[in-house]
Amino acid sequence: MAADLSKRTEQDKKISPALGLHEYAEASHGDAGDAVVKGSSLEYFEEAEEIVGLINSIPNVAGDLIPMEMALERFTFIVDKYQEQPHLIDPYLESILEQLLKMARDTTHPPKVMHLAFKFLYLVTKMRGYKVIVRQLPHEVADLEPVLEMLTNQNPEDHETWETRYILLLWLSIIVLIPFDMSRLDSNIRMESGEYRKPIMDRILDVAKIYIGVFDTAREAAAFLISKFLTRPDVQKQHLPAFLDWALVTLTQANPTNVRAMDKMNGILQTLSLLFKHGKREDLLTFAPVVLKTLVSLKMETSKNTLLRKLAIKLVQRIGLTFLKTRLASWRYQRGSRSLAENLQVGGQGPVAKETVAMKDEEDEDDYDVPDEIEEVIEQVLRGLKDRDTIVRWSAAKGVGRVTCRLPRELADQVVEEVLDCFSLQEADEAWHGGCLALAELGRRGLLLPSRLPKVVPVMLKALTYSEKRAAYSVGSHVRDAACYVCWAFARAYEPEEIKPYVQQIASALIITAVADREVNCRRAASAAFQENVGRQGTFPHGIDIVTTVDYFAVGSRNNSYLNLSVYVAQFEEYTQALVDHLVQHKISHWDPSLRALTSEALHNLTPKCPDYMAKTILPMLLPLCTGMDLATRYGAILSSGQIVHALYKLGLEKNQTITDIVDRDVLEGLANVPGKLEAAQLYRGIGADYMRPAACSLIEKLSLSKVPLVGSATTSVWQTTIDDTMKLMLAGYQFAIQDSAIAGFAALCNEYYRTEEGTALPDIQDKVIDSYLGQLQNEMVYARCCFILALGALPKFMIAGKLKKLLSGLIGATKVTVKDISMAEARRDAIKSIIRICSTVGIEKGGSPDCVICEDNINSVYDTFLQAMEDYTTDRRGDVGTWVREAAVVGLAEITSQALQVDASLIQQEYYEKTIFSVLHQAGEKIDRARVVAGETLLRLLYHDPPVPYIPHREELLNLFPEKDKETLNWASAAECYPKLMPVLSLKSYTYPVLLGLTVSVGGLTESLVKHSSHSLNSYMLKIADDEDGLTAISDTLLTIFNNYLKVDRVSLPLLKMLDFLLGSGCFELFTQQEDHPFTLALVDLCKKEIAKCGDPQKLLAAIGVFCQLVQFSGTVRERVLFQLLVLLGHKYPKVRKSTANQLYEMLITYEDIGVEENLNEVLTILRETTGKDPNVFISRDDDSLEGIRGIRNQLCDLMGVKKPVSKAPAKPKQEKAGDDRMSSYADLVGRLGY
Amino acid sequence: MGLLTILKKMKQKEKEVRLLMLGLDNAGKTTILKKFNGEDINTISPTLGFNIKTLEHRGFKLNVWDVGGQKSLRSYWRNYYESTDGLIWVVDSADKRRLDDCKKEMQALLLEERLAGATLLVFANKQDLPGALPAQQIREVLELDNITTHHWLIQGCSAVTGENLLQGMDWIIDDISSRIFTMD
Repeated sequence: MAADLSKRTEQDKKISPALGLHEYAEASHGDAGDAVVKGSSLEYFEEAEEIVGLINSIPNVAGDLIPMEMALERFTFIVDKYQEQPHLIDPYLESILEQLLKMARDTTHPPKVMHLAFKFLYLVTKMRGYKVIVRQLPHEVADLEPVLEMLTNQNPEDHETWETRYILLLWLSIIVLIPFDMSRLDSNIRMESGEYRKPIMDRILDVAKIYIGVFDTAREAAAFLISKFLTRPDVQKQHLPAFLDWALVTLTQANPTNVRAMDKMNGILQTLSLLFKHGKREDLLTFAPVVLKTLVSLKMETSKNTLLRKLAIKLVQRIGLTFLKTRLASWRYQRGSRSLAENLQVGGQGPVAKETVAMKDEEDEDDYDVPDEIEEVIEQVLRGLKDRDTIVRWSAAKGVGRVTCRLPRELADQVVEEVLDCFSLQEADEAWHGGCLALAELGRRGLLLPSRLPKVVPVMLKALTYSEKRAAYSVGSHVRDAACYVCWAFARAYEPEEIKPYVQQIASALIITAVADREVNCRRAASAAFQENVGRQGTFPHGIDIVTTVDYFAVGSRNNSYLNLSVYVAQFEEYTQALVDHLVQHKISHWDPSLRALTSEALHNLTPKCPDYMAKTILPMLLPLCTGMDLATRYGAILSSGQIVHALYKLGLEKNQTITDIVDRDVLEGLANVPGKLEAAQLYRGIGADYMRPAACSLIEKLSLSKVPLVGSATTSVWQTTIDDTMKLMLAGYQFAIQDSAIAGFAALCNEYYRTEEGTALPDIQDKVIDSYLGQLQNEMVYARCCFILALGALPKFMIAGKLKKLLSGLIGATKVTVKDISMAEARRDAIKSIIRICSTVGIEKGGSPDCVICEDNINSVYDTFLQAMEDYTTDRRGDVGTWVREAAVVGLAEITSQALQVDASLIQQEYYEKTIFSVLHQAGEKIDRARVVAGETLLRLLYHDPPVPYIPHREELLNLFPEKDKETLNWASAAECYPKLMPVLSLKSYTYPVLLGLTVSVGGLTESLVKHSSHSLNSYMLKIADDEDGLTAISDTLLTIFNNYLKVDRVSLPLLKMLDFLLGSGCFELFTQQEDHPFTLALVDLCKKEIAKCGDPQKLLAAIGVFCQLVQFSGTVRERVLFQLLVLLGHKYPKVRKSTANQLYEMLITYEDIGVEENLNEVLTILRETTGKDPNVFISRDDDSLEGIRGIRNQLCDLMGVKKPVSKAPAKPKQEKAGDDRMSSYADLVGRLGY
Repeated sequence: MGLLTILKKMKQKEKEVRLLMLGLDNAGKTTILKKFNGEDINTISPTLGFNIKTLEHRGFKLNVWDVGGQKSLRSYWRNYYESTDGLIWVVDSADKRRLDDCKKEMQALLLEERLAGATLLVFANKQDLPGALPAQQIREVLELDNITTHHWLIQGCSAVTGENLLQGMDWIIDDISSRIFTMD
C-alpha cells in the first residue's frame, strides 16, 4: 500500500473526463494564451543527470570566472525551460536540494563555492516557487544556529551574492517553525567579553530587519521570515507590539519619493500583509485599527509606485479580514464538485459522506457585529478597482471578494451595489475591468445573490463586447477577457435554474466573443467560459457540439474563427441571428480595417444560414450606411453588402432564382447607385480614398457577378468611371489590394454588362474601353500603367474578339525597354503577364483569325516578345529589376509552348523551340536565386511536357542529366545544388553558349556563396575535360564568342574577365600552353586590349591585369604582347592600377620561371621588390610628377625583360591639348600607351 | 493576467492538498507518514519538531505536515494551521488512559478559526494491538457525533500493517476535492 501511495508519479488527469477546465489549464502554458503551441509542453525533467553533474562541478569551477559562468548559464538555461511546468522537477527536487545544501554548508570549501551553490538554489527556487522549496529545506533545531550564523556573516550590500542571503532567509523561515520555546535555545553562557549573548530571538529579528529594506529580492524572503517568526506564540508576546510600532513609525517617516525609502516601505508593507495573513486573527485584532489608521493616513493610492499601491491594497484587505470572523459557505459541497462525470451521475450533488451541515449562516448573521473600520477597508478596495494598473485592480478585486465573503448578507449586497457603479458610461476602461474582476470574484464565492442577476447580467453582456475608441484603435480587450471570467465564475456559482432565464443571452454573447473577437486571448477566454457553462449548467443550447468544435485550438486562428467556426455556430438557429447582428453592429465598423474586410467575408459565409434575414433585414439596414458619415462603417458596409448579395445570388442559383427574386429591387438599385453617390459626395478624395475606392470596386465586382439587372447604361458608365479613376490613381506599390479589386471589378463588369445576348461585345463600348485602356499604357505613373496593363489582360474573350491585333501590339509595345520608361520594369513584367493571360483567354487555333485567336500569324511575335524580354537586364537603385521581366518571360515561353503543343506542334518554328530552351537554360545559371528557381522549374516542365516538346537539342542527354524526380527534390535556389547539376550541360554543344553565358555572371559575381559554388563546380568540370582538346576548344571558343558579343557590355564583360582570370589561374587551359601562340590566347589578348581601351573603370582594369598575368604562362608572341601590356599598365595614371600591376607582375615572374627573362630575372625582381616593398610604395604615389620617375623605372624593366618600351603617342586631337593640357595629356597618354 | 492565466493557476492549486496530522504523542503519526512514504518504520523516535512529506495520490499532491505531539509542543501547533484543507487526528486506540486528554485536545482544535471548514479524518490507530478499542468505541468516547462544524470520518487502522490507511486517505481526498475550490 505504501508503495501505491508514494510511487505514483504519473498525474491522474481524469478529473473532468470530457469537459471542465482541464484542456484550458493544460494548454495555456503561455501568458494569456497568446502564442501557445501544444508541442511546447515537456513530458518529464530530461536533464536530471546533467543537473547533478553541474552541481558536482561547483567546487571545481567556482572561482574561475569563465567555467563558472558557463556552468551557471547552462543551469539557468535548463531550469528556465521548466518555468512553465515546474512540477516536473519534483521527483528530483529532494536530491537536488540535498546535494546543493550539503555543498553550501560545507565550511571546508572557499566562500565562492558556497555562493555558487546558493545561486543554483535560487534558480531552482525561482523555477519551483519559494513556498514549495521552503518545505523541503531541513528544519531541525540543530540547523538554527549555523544558518543564523551564516546569514549574520553576509554582507547585505554585496550585489554579487544576494542569492545567498535570499536563500538563507527563506531557510530560516522554515527553521523558525520548530515547536520549541526559543528562549530554551539560549545558552546562558557569558561570552568572552563578559556580556550575555543576545537572545536568539533578538538576533533573528535584528538580522531580518536589516533585509526588510534592501533593494534586492532578499527583501521578500525577509518579509516572509518575519511574518512566520512573529506569529510564533512566544515571539509574538515579546516582540510583535514593538515590531509593529517600529514598522508604523518607519512607514510614516519614510519619504515616499526616495527610491531607497520606497524599498523599505515595500518591505514593511509586504511584511505586514503577510503577518496579517499568517497570524491568528484574534491575536492581531488588537493591532488592526492602528495599522489601518496609519495606512490610510499614508494615502498610498496617490503613490506613483505601482507595487506600493498594490501592497497597500493587499494589506488593507488583510486588515479587513482580521476584523471579520470566517464564514463558511453552506453550499460549498453542492456546487464544488469538479468531476463532470460524477455530477452527471448523481444529479449535481457532491459525494455524500458522513454529512453534517457545515455552518448555519442565517443564525450567525443577526448577532454579528461589524466594526466601523470595515467601511474604510471597503472604500479602499473599491477604489483600488479603478486603479490604473492591472495588478492593483486584480488585488483589489480579490480583496472585495474576500472581505465581502465575511460580511453579513445585507452589507455584502451593498458592496455588490457599489461594484456595479464601476459600470457607467463615465468610467474609464480601468473601472470596467476592475468591476468585472470584482464581479467574478464575488460570483465564484457565491456572493452575488440570484436576485442580483437581472442587474448584473446586462452589465456583463455589455462588458463582453466592450470596446472604447482611442484615436485609430480601441481599448477594451482586458475588459472583455475579464467579462469572460465573470461568465466562467457564474457557471460555477449558480444553480442551473437561476441562470436559466439568461442562458440564451449569455450563451450567444459568449459564443460571439469566442468566434468574433479580434484578440486571440479573448476568443480563448470566451471559449473556456462557454465550456465551463456547458459543463456545469448543462443548459446551453447545443453546448456539447459547440464545445467540441469551438475549442482552444480552433479559435486560435482569427480567420478560422470568422470564416469557418462562425458558420458552424450559425447552423444552430439560437445563435444565427445574434451572431449576424453582432457582426453588423460591431464589427463592420471595427477600428481595424482588416477586421472589417474579414467580417464581410464572414457575412458572405453566413448568408446561407439565414438568407431571408440577410435579404430582408440586414441589406436594407446596410444600404444607408454605405453612404453614411463614418468612414469605417461605410467601408465595412459597402464590402459586406457586396458579399451578402453575392452569397444570396449563389444561393439563388441552386433554387433557380435570380437575385431580384431574393432581394428587393429598391435595395439592389440603391446598392448599384452607391459608387455614383460616393463620387457625388466627394468621398473618393482625401484620406478615405484608400478605403472607398477598393470598396466601391469590390461592390461593383460582386454586383456584376450576381447579375444585378441595371436599367440603361448610365450606371455601368458610372461604374466604369469609378474603376478607371481608381486605376489612374494607383500611386504606390503597396496598394496591391486596391489594384486587385479594381481589376476584379473591371473584369466582372465587362463580363456581365458589356456582352450582348448573342455573347458578343457591345460594339461601341468595346472600342471605347479598349482604346482608352490602350491609351493608358503610356501613363507616366508606373503603378497606374501596371493596373491598366493587367486590366487588359483580364478582359474576357468576347471583349478581345476582333481586337486582338490591337491589343497585342499595344502590350508588346509595353514590354519594350525604351529610354524614357527604362525604370518601369514592373510595367514590362505586367505586360508580359497580360500577354500570357490573353493567350490563354483566347486560346490557340491553327488557321484562326489573328484578330481573335493566337494562330500561326501572330504566335511568332509573341515568341519574339518573350525572347526579347529575356534580354531585359535593366538595373536601377532597387537592383536587377530586369529579373522580374525575365522571370515573367520564362514562364510565358513555357505557357505558350505548352498551349501550342496541345493544339499543333507545327505552329511553332523549330528555331523558337530551340531558342526557348536556350533562354531557359541560360536563366538557370543566373546569379539571382529566384530567377534560377523559375527557370529551373520551367526547364523541367518543358523536358517532361506531354505531348513532348519537339526539337530539343540533345534531349536524351538532358533527360538523363535532369531526371523527373528533380521536380520535387532539386532546390534551384541553392547554389550548392544547382550548379553541379548544370555543368555537364556545357559539354552538349548547342548549350555551351547559353549556359556558359549564364554562368559567367555567377562565377564572376559578387555574392560569396554564389561565387564559391558556381566557380567550384565550373572548375571541377574544366579539370575533368582538361585533356580533351575538343571539349576544351569548345569552351574556349564559346568564351571568345561571348567576349566578342558582349565587348564593352560591363554587365557581362567584367564578370567574364574575372572568370577568365580564375579559369586560367586554376590551370584549366594547361593543354594550350604546349602549343606556341595558341589562337585562343592571341584572340584573348586582343579582346582584352579592346575591352580596356579608353576604359576608366578601375575594377575592369584590375580584372584585366589578372587575365594578362595569367596569359604569361602561354609561350610565343602572346607572352611578349602581354608583357608589353602589363608594362604599359605599370605606368598607368591610376596609382591603384600601377600598384596592382607591380604586385601581380612580381608574383607572376616567381610563379612561371620559364618565360624568357632568366638572365635578368633577379634584377627585375629586385627592382619590383624594392619599389613595391617601399613604404610608401613608389607605384602608389599620387603625385603626377612622379609619374615620369615611375615610367623611368618601367622603361628600365622593359630593357631588362627585353620588351620594347611603350612610347606615348602624340595626342590625337590638338584641340583637346589646348583645352586642358595637363589633364588631357595624361589621358591621351593612357590611350596612347594602351596601343591606340 | 487574463482568464486563461487564472484557470491555469487554479488548476495547479486545485491539485494540491494540505493535510495536517496531529494527535497526542506516541499516537503513531510519524509511523503513518513513513508508511505512506514507503520508509522503514522500525527506527522511529519521538518527533522533536515536525516533518513535511509530499505524496502523490490519485493525481493529487498531498503536503502532509506531521507535528510532534508532546505536551510541550502542543501550544506550537497553531503555527501550522494556516490553509489546512484536511486534519488527520491520530488516536492510539490502545491507550485508553489518555483518551479523555485526547478528546480535549481534539475539541480545542476544532474550535480553531483557521481550521474551520477543514475535513476531519480520525485514525483509530494501532488496531493490530491486543486490547485496542474498536473505532466505534473511540467514536463514542471522542463524541464525534456531536461535531457539526466539520465533515468527519473515523477509520480504524494500523500504521504497522498498513491496514485501512488507504481507505482513510481516499475518503479525505474525496471530501476535500468535492468541496468548492479553495476559497483562499
